[in-house]
Amino acid sequence: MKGIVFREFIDMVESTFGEDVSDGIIESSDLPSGGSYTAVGTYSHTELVTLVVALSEAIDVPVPVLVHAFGKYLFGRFHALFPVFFEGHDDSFSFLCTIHDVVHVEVLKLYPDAGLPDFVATMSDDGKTLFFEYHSHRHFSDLAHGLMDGAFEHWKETVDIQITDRSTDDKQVILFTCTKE
Amino acid sequence: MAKKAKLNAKNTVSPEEKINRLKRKIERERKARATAEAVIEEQSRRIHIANEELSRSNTEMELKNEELASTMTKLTSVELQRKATTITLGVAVVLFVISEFAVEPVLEREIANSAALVMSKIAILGLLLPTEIIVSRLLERQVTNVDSINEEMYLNLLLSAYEDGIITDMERTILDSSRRQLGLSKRVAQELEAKLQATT
Repeated sequence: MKGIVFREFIDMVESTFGEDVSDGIIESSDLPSGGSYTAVGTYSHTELVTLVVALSEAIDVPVPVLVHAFGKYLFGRFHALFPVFFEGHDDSFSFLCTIHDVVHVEVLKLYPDAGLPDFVATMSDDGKTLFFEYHSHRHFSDLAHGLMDGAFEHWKETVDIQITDRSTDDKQVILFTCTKE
Repeated sequence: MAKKAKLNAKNTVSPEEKINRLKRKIERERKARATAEAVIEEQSRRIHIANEELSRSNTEMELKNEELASTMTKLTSVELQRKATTITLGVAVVLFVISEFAVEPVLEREIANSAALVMSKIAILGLLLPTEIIVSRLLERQVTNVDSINEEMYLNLLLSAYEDGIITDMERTILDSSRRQLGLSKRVAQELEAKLQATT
């Protein structure tokens, strides 16, 4: 997982809960990197899991809620850091449809070693429903969910999301059926 | 699993704890910077190797281009020389027919002296040879006019480069290199490019 995700997570914890909390979860976790993250580096995704679990225990909030909140926060940060990917999109569905074939392609140009999840996006004929399928071995569908909610909030849309778990033994597959209200 | 971080229990943080926390943060940032520098160094090394590889490929391509240009020029030259030979042969046949059926009967009729007749025939033959040589040279001059061939080749390269509407740095480098190999001046190349731009 790219270091930018870790940097953003630490920044979110610092800005939301304070430096004592961020320092505390890093110090209390046995991290191979020691909690020193650089955006251009690559780290094991298990470090993020460890940090989230530590935060969950520290502030007594369930892990999925934290990961989802981080996803929403990350969307805002991505929008601020990489505005070019959001240009020309009038709504969230249009943007979400480009993640796999445009955004991830560009990310891989910069970071060929980035381990990215697969997304399969299909739009209904009337454009009101988006079938967004998440495939990953890392089990971060809550993060994807949070990112999607961040997108809906950004475009000021009310979207109903139905979640269908299609996971297999070795891979998490989650179908998000998003319907605009 | 991380040990439970008892963080919020502390309402007040002593200055010493605060200093220690900041020191740890600085240390983490320092390590992160060192990691980032190592990543950048590694990427720079890869870029350097890729550049060297690219440069090597470019040199090889230039050589191949040169060989190709030379082969094409030779092929075109051989083709035109073949045509020149055919035409020269045709001219020789025409001259022979004229000499044999138009000039010689007249000479045989007019010149009684056989020695003079032979001399006249030799003179006619002597006239045929330079005629053939002149015709052959004229045609070969056309053959050796490689400039137009090279300009056409450069124009084809320009067309390929402009296929997507823009010329990238890499395409410009290849074009410049090809221009030098084809022996075209910058002015000629610019004129060809301007002509192409005007037509597209």
